[in-house]
Amino acid sequence: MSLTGLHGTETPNELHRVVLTGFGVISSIGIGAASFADGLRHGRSGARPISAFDTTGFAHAIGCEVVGFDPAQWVHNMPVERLGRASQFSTAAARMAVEDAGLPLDELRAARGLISVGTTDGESFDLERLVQSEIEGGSAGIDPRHARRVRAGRLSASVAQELRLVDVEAVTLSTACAAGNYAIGYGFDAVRTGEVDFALCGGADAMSRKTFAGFYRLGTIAPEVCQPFDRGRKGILTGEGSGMLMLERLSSAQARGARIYAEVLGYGLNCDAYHQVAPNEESVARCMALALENAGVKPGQVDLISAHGTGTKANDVTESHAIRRVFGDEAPRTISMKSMLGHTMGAASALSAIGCALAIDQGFIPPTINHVETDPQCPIDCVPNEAVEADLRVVQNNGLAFGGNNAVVVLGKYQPGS
Amino acid sequence: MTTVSVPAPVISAWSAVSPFGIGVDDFAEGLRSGRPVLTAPASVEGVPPGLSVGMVPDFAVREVLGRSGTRGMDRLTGLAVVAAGHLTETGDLPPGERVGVVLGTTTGSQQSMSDITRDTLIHDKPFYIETAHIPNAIMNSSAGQCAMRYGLKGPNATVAAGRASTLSALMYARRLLAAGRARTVFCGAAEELSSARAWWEWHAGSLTGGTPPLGEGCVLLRLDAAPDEPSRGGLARLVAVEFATHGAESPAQSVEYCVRRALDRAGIMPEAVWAVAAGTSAEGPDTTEWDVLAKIFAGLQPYHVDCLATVGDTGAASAGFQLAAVLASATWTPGVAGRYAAITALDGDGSAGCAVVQLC
Amino acid sequence: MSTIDEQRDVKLKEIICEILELEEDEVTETSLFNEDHGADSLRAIEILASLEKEFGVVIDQSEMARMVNVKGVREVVGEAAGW
Repeated sequence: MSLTGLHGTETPNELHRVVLTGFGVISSIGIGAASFADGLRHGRSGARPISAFDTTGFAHAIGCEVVGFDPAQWVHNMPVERLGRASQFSTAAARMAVEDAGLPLDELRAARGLISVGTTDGESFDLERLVQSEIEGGSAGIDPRHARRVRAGRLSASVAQELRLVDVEAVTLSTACAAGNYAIGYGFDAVRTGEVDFALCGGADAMSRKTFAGFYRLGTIAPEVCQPFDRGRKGILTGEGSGMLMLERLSSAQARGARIYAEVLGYGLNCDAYHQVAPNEESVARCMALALENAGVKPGQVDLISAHGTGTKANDVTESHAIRRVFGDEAPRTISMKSMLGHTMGAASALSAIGCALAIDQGFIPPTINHVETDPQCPIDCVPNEAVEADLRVVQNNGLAFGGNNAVVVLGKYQPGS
Repeated sequence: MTTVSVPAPVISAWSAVSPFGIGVDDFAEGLRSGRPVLTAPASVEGVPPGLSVGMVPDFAVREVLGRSGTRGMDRLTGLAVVAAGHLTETGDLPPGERVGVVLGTTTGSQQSMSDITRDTLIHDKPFYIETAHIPNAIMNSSAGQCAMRYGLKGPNATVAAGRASTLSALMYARRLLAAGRARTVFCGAAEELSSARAWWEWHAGSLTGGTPPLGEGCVLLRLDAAPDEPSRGGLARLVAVEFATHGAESPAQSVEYCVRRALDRAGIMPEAVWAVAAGTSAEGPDTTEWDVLAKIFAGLQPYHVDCLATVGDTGAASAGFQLAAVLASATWTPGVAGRYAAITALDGDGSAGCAVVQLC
Repeated sequence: MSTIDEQRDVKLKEIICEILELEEDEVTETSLFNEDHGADSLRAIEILASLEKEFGVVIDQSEMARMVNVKGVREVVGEAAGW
């Protein structure tokens, strides 16, 4: 059955329901949706000493690196050496998502699509090598292969080229640490109106010396563990990876008998227009309200919030207070997957959206690990350390970023006819 | 396939910071007079041998924007903030919550990224970096700063698709308006000329057949949701934006596919098109887009806009400059109201696109 | 006060004023960055970072509690640098 063929029952100008039917995951706690789900359920930690760059001179350098990733396993058509590390992640995760969705590639090639990949740093891993070659050999000594690889658009274009998809718009959304949610939201709007048959959306980032040094300089890197909402939290751990999601119309998923992990109910976007790096409580609250309104759900219907939850002093207080503004004293349980994955930057909200959908599908709430004592300034139930069983109908996934770029996605359990 | 039909949004105004100067008047005057702005090859310090460039004249961020809120602001953000500022003066803006910003980019500020990375490698401690420059090295900094400076609290996005970035920004903005997520969007792209960008382009070009003259600047369009009364004002309507992605072997087919489908989507024949504007120059080195346009518009001789030859390769902003040139040229060309223009883009990394606008 | 001390002092004040975006006569020995000059915590980190780089020292973040005015900053940097 075809992605494009079966829409006879729909009337013109009707907005489609949008569902998630396939996931690709490359993370420090597991590669592939099944391994990732297992990691979330067991509260696995991806933290280990950083090996992606020379950490000499930093007092501490723990991060959440992806280990055991062999791009050749997933990248078949593109020469792997022409892809930067982040593009390797996005491309591999995209192929995984297509396979997970059970969509034959020839069918996908006959359909019309959108590929949107969020990122914070693009190919910063390669950028460091480019700059290193410049330091050693002057501007004329820059390695052209690195110069060729560093453009951000390649994170999405490479996905199309690897899968040999022609009838697609490939766009990289460089909206920093909320970029994964931006990408999913963009796919939602495009699929919902019927402009495209499918959207392959998500985010990717590779470990970067520049990013690590930046957060370190701001005093926001934790020495050992990431402890969101904990009284003793000391900051983030930087991470890497990619999460890619297949979005399609409910009707096409049903017609081909696809597994539906969850439904995308809506999303919200806004900008603090306040500070380059400090979040703004009122604006974050407004973004959550916009997302709920777009999804057509009331705050009381939300069963779980997957927080941005970086584990910095400022984020966790601001975000918890914003949640209380919207949800009052009865705020739903609010977890941070960054306790396990570290902050995977542009991949973060894509990976956590996948985590939310897996939680809905499998009926559990991933824990916030490394938790000792909840900060009274963060008055929420963060489901400390142990996953719990739960029937989840509506889950909200927060993504906040430098530049005041906020994006919140709302997912729901797929319920026929609702 | 059921597609929700979306009323075409309106381009109500535009702004440009270009090698011709700051503002739309300088751009229009420079374009019309054909005043040369590209330097002789290799006459600029920090630029690779044999490369000519077009810089925005007298553009020092703190002199143009004042000292308040500009400490640490890089050139790329300065270009975008100035262009956004001009759009805030175009009148009848909705409340800030309803105004979005969508900015296209190649890789943010290559210079800021390079500088911070270099600082982590050459000093006594790897964290001896400039704190105020940390946000500059993240690609969404420019769009965020436009929002901060002018209180634009609607959706704020940064999109990267190489030379197709402005078309992606238009598409993103169009979808925001169609979904009711904003009432007005400032959309376009910025690209700075810096030593880092020049060298990166030069080296990358060495693998792909040469680097054209490099320009810089920012073009932003003010895109408003389609008005209730179709007769109400505006410079042009954005009637179609189409994309395709190509492998190394088939860029021409991708461009042709985009143009033909954009014309279909607009519901017009090639005869209705007054002007065509390609991202690369008819003078080369890569003439793919012009070859395709010659084929599609064979025998019709539409007006040609060749921005690359005029202001240099403005990267992510190139399709923005093409569109700006179309809008400027329309003001001194009689009889174009109601006719159409096609703007194409082709990026070496895989994206091709075409936008069609109808002039008001 | 020796010349080197004076130069150090001039540089230290210059860095602080640059970051606070204030003229040097607006900032006194004891005027408070936050309460009197409206500097947020990120400006404070910026001051710390710039001084570390300028004087080749490393200052523990916990010392920021003392770095509330020029006097406090000079003490903390002086201790780290062994002035």
